[in-house]
Amino acid sequence: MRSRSSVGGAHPIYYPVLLLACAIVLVPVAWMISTSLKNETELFSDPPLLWPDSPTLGAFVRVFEDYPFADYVTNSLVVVLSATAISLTFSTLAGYGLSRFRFRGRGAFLAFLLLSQMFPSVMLVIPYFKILKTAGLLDSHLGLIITYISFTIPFCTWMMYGYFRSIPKELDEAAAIDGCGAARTFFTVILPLALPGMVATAVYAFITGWNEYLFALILTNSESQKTLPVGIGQLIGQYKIEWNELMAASIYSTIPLMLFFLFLQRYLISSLTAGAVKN
Amino acid sequence: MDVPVAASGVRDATRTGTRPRRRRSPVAAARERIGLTFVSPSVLVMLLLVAYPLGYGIYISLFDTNLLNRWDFVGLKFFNESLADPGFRRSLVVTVVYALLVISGHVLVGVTLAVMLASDVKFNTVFRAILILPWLFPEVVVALIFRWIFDPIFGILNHALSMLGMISSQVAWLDDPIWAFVAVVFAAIWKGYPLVMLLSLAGLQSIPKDRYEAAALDGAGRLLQFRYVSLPGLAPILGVAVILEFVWWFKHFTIVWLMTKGGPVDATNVVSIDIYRTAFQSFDFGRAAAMAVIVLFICVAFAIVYRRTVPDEEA
Amino acid sequence: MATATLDGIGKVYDNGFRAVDGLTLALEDGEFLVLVGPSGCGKSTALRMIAGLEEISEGELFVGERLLNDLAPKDRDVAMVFQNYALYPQMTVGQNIGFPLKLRRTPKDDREDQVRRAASILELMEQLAKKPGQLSGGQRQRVAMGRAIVRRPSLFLMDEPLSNLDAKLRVQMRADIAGIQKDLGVTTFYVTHDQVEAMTMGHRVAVIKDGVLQQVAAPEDLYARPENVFVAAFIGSPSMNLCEGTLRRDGAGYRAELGDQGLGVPAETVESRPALAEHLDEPIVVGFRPEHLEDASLVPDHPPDRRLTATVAVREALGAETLVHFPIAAAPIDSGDPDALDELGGRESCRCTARFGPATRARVGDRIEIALDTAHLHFFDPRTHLAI
Repeated sequence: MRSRSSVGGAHPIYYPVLLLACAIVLVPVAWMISTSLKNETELFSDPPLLWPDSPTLGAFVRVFEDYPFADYVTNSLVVVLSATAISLTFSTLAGYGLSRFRFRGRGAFLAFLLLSQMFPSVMLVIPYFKILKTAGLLDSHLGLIITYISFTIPFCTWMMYGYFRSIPKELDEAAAIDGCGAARTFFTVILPLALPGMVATAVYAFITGWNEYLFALILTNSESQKTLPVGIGQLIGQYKIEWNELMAASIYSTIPLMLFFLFLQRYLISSLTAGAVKN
Repeated sequence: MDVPVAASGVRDATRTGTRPRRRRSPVAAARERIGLTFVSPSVLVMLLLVAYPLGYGIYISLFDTNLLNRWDFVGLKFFNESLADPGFRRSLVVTVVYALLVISGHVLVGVTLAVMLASDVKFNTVFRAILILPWLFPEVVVALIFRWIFDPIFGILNHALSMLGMISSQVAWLDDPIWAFVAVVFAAIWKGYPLVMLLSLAGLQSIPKDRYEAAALDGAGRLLQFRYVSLPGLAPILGVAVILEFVWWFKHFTIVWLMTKGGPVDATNVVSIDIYRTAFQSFDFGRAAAMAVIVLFICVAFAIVYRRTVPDEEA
Repeated sequence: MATATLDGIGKVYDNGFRAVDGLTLALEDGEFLVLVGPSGCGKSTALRMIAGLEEISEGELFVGERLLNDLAPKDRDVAMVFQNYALYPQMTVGQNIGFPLKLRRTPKDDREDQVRRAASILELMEQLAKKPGQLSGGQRQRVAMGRAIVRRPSLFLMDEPLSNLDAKLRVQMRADIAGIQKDLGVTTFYVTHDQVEAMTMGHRVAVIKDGVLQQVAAPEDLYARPENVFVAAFIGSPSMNLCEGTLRRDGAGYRAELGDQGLGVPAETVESRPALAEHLDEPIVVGFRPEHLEDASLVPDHPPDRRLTATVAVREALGAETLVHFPIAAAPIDSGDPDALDELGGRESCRCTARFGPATRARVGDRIEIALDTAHLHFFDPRTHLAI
């Protein structure tokens, strides 16, 4: 028997495997960064340069100059943050209600929640196209927010439901006996305890919305309304692809997610355990 | 069984001694109202924003329409035609294979890495931070990075391979049906494994340590411990994850679209691309809607079958 | 005043399962009643119905003159201590205790005063600014009690508050809780599965099995005069020995036959139970407590016809006494307690326990004589399990 404990100890082979995995992750990332720092000539050098000889931030600047990039970012921020905020509010209320109360239609609602996460996005894009068109909401923030809510609310509600189930009902009972009505119990006693779950839900909703491509592609038209993913995606359609600008734009679009994650990762991991395991 | 009860204590004769059977106490009714109040905003939203468009989508599938002025009722014609159409069937197969490969990749990579991260490797946090990165990249970005890597002339893949002497001339990866498929699968695995890894990590950490110790005492080495302790402990979480993953990647659009647009020659024509093209390039909305409804049924059927056959979480 | 009356209280679930059936109890003001029974017997359900956390399916609940059935928990003027304490994790100890008062809009000075008073009774003054997560189990339990007593309610409800504490702490807290209840004089319902707690803490004890009340009486009465087999076996530790036997006349006196052994029984014991006359010469259930057995070699004056002969199977030396387990060749009786171990002797052999004094020299494998105080025999009907 080896001297290291055979329970939970790290096998030497772990290290090369982990390093390999890290390499597979970092190489594309490094290449992305390297590309973004290249100027025109170095970009298309043959053979390709691993790292630019004269790195420049020109691409980062040109992204804002040559394209309505600021519009893209603003649109994404407005739409995604609004959808996240609204979804979070509604789903927290609903998650609490589902976990604590018995009412007619509860089972049906739960089933529908689960079901609605299975719809192919492409399935709802067609009716939404027509609906928004009729309502005059195509190519607008409000239109996109509405559609984003349609898919973030189901899974946010499901997540909050799972999270609330992990908060002992005895706290509600103690509060009831102490003299709290339902609203008071929710806001004063339970809600503060649900914050980690809410944070995780908000992060998932944000990431999903920020990521979203198909709906934005179809439901927006004018440059002033397009979101970041669409804006970036169409950079590739040009005749001559400015890869360095593309990579710079990509880096811009990844930064908010990184920041979000960096600050909130404690909550994410802990509520993954609470939500997922209890589910 | 007649059990004697000690009769003592104060009992006032003015109280009613009957034992009425109550139907529904006001307390319970009030609770139901409160529950409904909490839930109603979400319910309303879902009815308006999910159920209604869903119904409308099904409605559209019964018409030959351009959504503007032409609405010809055709009933189930598009359903029948799509199900019989070899092109559509082919795209279904492509999608299923795609989803299965991607999910397998996620689970293999995710669980393996999670097992390693859950042990006491040095630099644990550094590894974890790096290995989570792909999840933080928007799908658009992932598609573009890999497209650039696979570029025939300027991509580093070709460059690296020719430096290693493995190829002699530039390979147009994304123009070859098989390699294009491999490429989109790889990109999807790269992008999506962190989520499975995180879930597995959480799951592994919730397995009590003493189960491993008991197994070790029984004579199980590392691999057997994994098989008999880790895997069963992970089963509930993985079960849920796999369902969600399957549905998610079955309806996937972005990465494939931006890398290959469904080509070459429909090699990567996943079903959402097929539907997209039918709707927004051919403007055949009714047919596209029908195709989408078929996809919906497949996803739901899969979830139901899966839930039935795979046992639910441990009590 | 704050008397409490349960009149035919019952709980039926949608699937037809009856958790509580026809529970009738009347408590005097300031009485401490313990509801005791094996796990799943419905005692917690009964308590929760009194609290208002479960709907009462049948029967009526009164505190004083008020009918409580349709009132929400907060309108019932009851306070509850939960098994897992249910403290609000984000509030300090002081805030936890003061919460009920805050909800009643008690002025701040008043509130702080009462919180301090409760804290000093419970020795929590040092902990007022801490959060529950920083406290030990025993301290958390006291905070839960503090939250309950600060309101001066009509009724205290306690749901197995000590079961999460370790043994030594439990013993001390038992005394503390009983003392506090006596000082405050609040009518109390206390639920536990531990019969030692029940016996030491309650003015009266109500034994419950499968949702039905078996007997309610003062602890001494439950011990000395159990009304059925279940109560006889449940109360007292180690349990009463129960086996099948036959009572016969023997000249001027009587004889109890247990398997192949016979014991003389004083006439007074039989004649003070007139109903026994109808059960003579038939199989009945005979019970005798371990404390009424002794190593015959230690009491040589004990009448020879009141001795059992048996082989020692297991011996547990506890210091102050020695527990000796031995089989006798009589059929064992199932008391109906789901938590009791199945008899290992099968149908022919009843495993009995005796409490010997520390001086005993009986060892495993020894065939010894055991003196039985037959004046303290219990008899039960074999069909109904009721005491005769």
